[in-house]
Amino acid sequence: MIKILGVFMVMAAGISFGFSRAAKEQKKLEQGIALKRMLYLLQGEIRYGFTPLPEAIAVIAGKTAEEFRPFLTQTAKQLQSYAESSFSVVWKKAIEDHLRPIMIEPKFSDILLAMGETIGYLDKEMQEKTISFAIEQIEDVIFQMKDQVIRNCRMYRSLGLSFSALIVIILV
Amino acid sequence: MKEGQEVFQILPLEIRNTMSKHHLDIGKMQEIRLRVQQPILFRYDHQEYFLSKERGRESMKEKAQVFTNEELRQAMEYISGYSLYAYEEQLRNGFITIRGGHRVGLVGSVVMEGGNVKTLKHISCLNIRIAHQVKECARNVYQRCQEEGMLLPTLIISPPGCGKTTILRDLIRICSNQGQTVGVVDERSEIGAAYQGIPQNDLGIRTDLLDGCSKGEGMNMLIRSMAPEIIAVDEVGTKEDVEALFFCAFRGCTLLATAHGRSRESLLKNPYMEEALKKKMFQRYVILDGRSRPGEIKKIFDENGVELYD
Repeated sequence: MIKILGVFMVMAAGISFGFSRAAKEQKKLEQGIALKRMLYLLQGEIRYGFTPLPEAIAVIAGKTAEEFRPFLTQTAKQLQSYAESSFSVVWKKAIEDHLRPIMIEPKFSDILLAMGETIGYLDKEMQEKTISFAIEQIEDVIFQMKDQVIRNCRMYRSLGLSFSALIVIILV
Repeated sequence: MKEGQEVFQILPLEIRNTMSKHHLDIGKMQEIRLRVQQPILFRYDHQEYFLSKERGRESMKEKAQVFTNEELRQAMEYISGYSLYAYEEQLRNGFITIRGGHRVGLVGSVVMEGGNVKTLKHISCLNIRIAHQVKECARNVYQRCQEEGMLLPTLIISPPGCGKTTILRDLIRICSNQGQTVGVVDERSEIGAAYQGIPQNDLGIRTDLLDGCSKGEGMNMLIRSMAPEIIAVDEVGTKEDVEALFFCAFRGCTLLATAHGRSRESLLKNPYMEEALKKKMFQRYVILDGRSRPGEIKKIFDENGVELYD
């Protein structure tokens, strides 16, 4: 009876480990898509309402994925306090504080960082192009990642299962 | 937020520090002039001073703090909320209105496209005009410009910086609270100082504010949508403005407007305003006094040029 229970527990641990790693892989993609959505919202605010960045960022904070809210809220607050001399300084700090620690794929943070260097500068057309460029880069990363993520998901799930089975065989 | 705090926020850090150190109250300031490589000038309690790191208010140019290129860059970031693109249209007109309804005038090199001003680049001078809401400052004007509690069509005339907008804002508030519905077209966000569509200045309980819209179009929109008894606009003078004023007058609206000028006669030099005056579009003309005492009434005339106040 104890043996059966042990087998069951080892199998369950191995499978859940595999599934959790697969879910993490899957989340990489989801984060990329959520970032893309966030940039589309920002683009819309600028295109439709000529909204200045502090206001636009505060507005989209309420419409974006929960995990990005602290990042956007801090940026908007900092911008509205006029404590820093440029947008890029505020943006960079918020990325390092709130985005990088939660982003599984570091390339997404790098893309946003680069976008922050030029946004706010010149006219509306320039803003749209800057955001579009960032969206394109995110899409490229997602495209490159997609097959890899699917393969990794499959691999982690089967590894979890087979590894736990191996332990069971060795121990029993 | 304390009066004028919005102006304090758009100043470069170094200037903010000097002002804080010497307890200079933005609420008492009328104007700040920032010119690159030149001493910083400001009007405080209706007197002109240089800004000095040592003493705050300074009368000697040699001891004044000089405005640098880096400070200008910083100021532009703050004025535009790090988003110059959002002010393309205002830049074309040479000024940006910030939160609180304060106006920042800008000059630099003009970029032309197809014979029109496209934008300003290499901005070198800023003139920050601090808006003040002075409640009840127009009570005197209102008493002489109303009949049985209804405002008569009124035009407020003065040179720039003499308090036209302040008087207009208070007249709007008084009329609105007295029971008349007022529609305001606030092209430059100076009257209501709206933030995200909500007026930050008190314009009364029966006031509908159309913010950021051109006067001509705005007046037509308000008449159709809000049926105001009074239409209020700031700084009229162009053909489109006067046409829209006629449109409102024909539909039975009482007009309340301001115009640049020194006297009623000076408006006759403007062909569009001349027509408005000749057709007796306004029944009261309020002439404001010079820059030393903004908002002070110099004279009030009726439509026949008869003086009602001196």
